[in-house]
Amino acid sequence: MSSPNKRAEILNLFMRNQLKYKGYAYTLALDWAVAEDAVQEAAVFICDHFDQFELGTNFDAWARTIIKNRCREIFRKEHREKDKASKIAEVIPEEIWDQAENFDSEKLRALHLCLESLPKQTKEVVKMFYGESQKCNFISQSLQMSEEAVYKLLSRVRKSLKICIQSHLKEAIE
Amino acid sequence: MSERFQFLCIKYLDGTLNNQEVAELTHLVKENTEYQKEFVELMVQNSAIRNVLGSQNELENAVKETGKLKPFKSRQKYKSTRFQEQKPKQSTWPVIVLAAMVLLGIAVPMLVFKNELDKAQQSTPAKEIAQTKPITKETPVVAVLPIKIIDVYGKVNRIIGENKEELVKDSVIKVGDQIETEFNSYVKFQTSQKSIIVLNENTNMEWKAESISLVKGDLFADIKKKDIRSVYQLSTPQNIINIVGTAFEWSYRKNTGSVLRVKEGDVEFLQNGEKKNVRNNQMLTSNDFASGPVKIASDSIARWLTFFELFKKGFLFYIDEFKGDSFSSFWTTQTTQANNISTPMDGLICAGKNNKVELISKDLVLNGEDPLVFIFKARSIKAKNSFEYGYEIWNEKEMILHQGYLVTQINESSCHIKEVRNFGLDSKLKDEVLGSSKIESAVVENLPTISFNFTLTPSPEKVKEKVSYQKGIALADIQLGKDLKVVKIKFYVKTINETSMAQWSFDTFAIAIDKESTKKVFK
Repeated sequence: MSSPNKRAEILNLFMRNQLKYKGYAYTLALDWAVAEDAVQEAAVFICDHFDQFELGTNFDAWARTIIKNRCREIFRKEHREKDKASKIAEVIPEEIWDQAENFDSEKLRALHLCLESLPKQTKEVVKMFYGESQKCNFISQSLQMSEEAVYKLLSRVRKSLKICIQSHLKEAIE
Repeated sequence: MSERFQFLCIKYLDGTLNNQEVAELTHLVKENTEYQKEFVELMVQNSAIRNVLGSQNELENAVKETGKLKPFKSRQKYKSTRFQEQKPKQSTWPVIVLAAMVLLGIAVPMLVFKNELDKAQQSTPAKEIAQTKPITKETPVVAVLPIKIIDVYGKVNRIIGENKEELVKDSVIKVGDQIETEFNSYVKFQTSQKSIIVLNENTNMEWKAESISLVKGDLFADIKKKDIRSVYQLSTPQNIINIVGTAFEWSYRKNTGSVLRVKEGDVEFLQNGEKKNVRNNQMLTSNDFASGPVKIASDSIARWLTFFELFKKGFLFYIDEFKGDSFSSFWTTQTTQANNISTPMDGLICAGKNNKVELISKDLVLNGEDPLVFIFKARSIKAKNSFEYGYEIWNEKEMILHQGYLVTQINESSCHIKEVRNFGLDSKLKDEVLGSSKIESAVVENLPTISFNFTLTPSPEKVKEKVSYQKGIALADIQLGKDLKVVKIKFYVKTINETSMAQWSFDTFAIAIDKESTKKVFK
């Protein structure tokens, strides 16, 4: 395969899985800004070093290693220490990440519809928590709910979104 | 899937797990493959929701637009330089600021001020204007609370009676909270609508039910479009302003009064019933209200936000602009005569035969490996007859660097100047390297101003000994590869004769980790 084609293919592979990689980067950094930076920097790195990857081998593992190094580098540059909760990521075997399903465009569209259909207050909480990165404590005070209620609502939403997405995807197939 | 696991996962995403909960979640994930899958799925779903709800995916767009990948603007950089990013936008929404300025004319202590201000607010024409001419159709109330701290550097306290509670990131501010920032400390608040309020060091403010009261210091606000219906009322002991959306810096000090610098928006500034508009990149002060607003450089608005950024990045350790509040926390004064004084505003003042006044820094304990860059800029010196001024650097009990000027006045307009310098035990820095110091002539009004910019490092092998030394303006750029432990800096003024007098005032002194950072702290 010629170099430009290989580069494009590798880049596409990375792009298609970027949400999964962002999720992975978050478990290492516990900071979305760092996670997103790490994935961006990894994409640039992959673009420059695509020759180092052998097609047919485990691309996910290669990409995750690059992301891990990017996260480490960002932390080193900013003199940041690892959050205590980042050790949770260390107990997850690599094969679990290999098996994780990414959000493709169909699934993202379904997610979008499901988010739209959420009840008003739930939507507001989800928007603040995920869209604006607000803490539950802040959301609870802003919306005059207990913090516990915010946690519970977000747990429930997670489950209901999963079911909703599956139902939309099923409908699309039928 | 257990509810407890779900609950812990949300707390994990929220960043609020305590040590016990971290251990519990780690254990659950470690022991159960289903939990591992669920956890990973949650992370990917989280990422996807953020993608849908957040801004458009830059990575995808960049590839779509250009067909190839290009280096991206770091979100990290964007975050930390958000203040510099606040370029004037093409605002399509009406920005109105009604500033009701009332001069009470009396400088009152903070505790007294509260009552005084309340009285003033009830009785002054300005309050009347603010109340009878609401800017929007809605009732002017502060709808900004709750508000949370999204960034903090140094020590920021909530004052509760006579006690202080230190505030950290994510602390929530409520009505009635009085907040103070200590020296070299900064805090950034955010409302649910993403409006930003940042406090400079040595600032004291109170969130009242219907106003934000700036007791002293500096505040920068960037009020977002979504908060337009929320009328922010701000006050200082002298003035009151009502704001509906804009980006501005609002300062108050007893000696300078209130200062409003508008970065973006159109501001109506009222004082004693008179109104003046302050627009983008303009400034108006309560003391110069009659002359009207003056044009200012955009980068002069809330310049201290750069310090906040440098502190956060760990590039800056200390900065002193000699404004007054920080003076006694870092410097001590030593003087041979009680009437020789050292003040933050006036600098070192010395008079009489064989007298000396010194400004001595705190001990700087150097245990790290990084070099420290010291940079100093003085204002001009006013003096007569014979005197000397300069600085010394001490490492424990040994003076390692001394630079100064010995001045002898010949007549009313001219003088002789001899440069005094001593580079301690470092042989490479002796006179033969630098050239001998000669007596030179100068006019009295044109005495050399001392500035310095040098690096000290506790790890000699890290810095190659380098000397570049420039005479005349007395700029020393010296890297010393010395085994430094406890460093102290002294500025001094000495007078020699009965009729000698010297006053030396300072502009900025900073300690940073590199020269690039020190450059940013100067105007």
